[in-house]
Amino acid sequence: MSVLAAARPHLSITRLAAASVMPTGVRHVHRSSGDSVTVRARREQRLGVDPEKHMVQPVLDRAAQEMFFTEIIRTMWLVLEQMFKPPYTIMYPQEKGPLSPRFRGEHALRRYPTGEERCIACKLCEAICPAQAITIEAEPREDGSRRTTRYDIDMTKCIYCGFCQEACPVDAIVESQNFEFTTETREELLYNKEKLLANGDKWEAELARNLKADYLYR
Amino acid sequence: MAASPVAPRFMSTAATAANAGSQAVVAQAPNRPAVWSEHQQNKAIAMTGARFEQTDFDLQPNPLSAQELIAQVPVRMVSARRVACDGGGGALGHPKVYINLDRGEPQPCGYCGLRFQQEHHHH
Repeated sequence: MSVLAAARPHLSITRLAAASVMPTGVRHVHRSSGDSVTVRARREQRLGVDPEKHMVQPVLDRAAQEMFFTEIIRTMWLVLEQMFKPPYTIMYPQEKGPLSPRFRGEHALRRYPTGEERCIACKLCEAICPAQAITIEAEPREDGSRRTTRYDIDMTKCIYCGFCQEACPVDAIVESQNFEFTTETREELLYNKEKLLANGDKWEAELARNLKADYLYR
Repeated sequence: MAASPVAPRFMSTAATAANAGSQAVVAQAPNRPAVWSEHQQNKAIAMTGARFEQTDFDLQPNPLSAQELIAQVPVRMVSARRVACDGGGGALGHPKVYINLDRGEPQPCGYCGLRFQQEHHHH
């Protein structure tokens, strides 16, 4: 209680200061006088406004009654509900949990339905990559089309932020839903263009479905 | 090494360089034997210079060459002088580009590689 008593003068001053801003009868007269907040609070005290008027109940008690008590009840009700539900555990390697279309897993390079690579070597993904994990070299092909001759992603540098697929204007580099690509050696995580294109060929159905499900929100 | 009946799975750089002659038959892609860009490195000599744990190309990803695939798509004949290509699928394609067909020969879309040509009119 001593702590509360020590804190009370300060509390009452601030409360009065806040109350003095209210546009009610007497206070409105003094508003244009240009007094500071402290002076106005002192004046209210002198005028006989009870500083304990709003302190009918300690703040903590009030908060405990209004908020914490219902929280406790609701939580106990949740526990009660769970007691009557059967427990369920996913048999993980055989059975996967649901994944969002926005899940960011292993990278893949997509193709058009004709088989042409989508990547046009604009290097926006290389520029935006915060981990600088992407390396691109480009050159015209024999048929005149400008495509990448090298598209490397260092998967040990990648932080899976998804900036590359957001930067890509043609949805070429995407992050698939595959998160199970552990390797035995570090070198296997240095992906080249062949690996990324093979990933894209392998996951194209899922990748196209995810993009179709989400393109309105991008 | 000559005495070993099976090819070693792990080879040093020197061993890889010595066997480079035997790997010269490696195709660049399943549908394309040679390279398709000027400075593209041949797969047969790709695994030299550094030590690679696993040099068996049968275990490496081997996607199809896009150049060979797009070359099989027939040229699209249109009657207009100008054609718009957005890759199909609206937002799932590529930025829309307009292609001028005045030259009279197949013009490829810079994004998706589809070729367009203006039909010849007899009038």
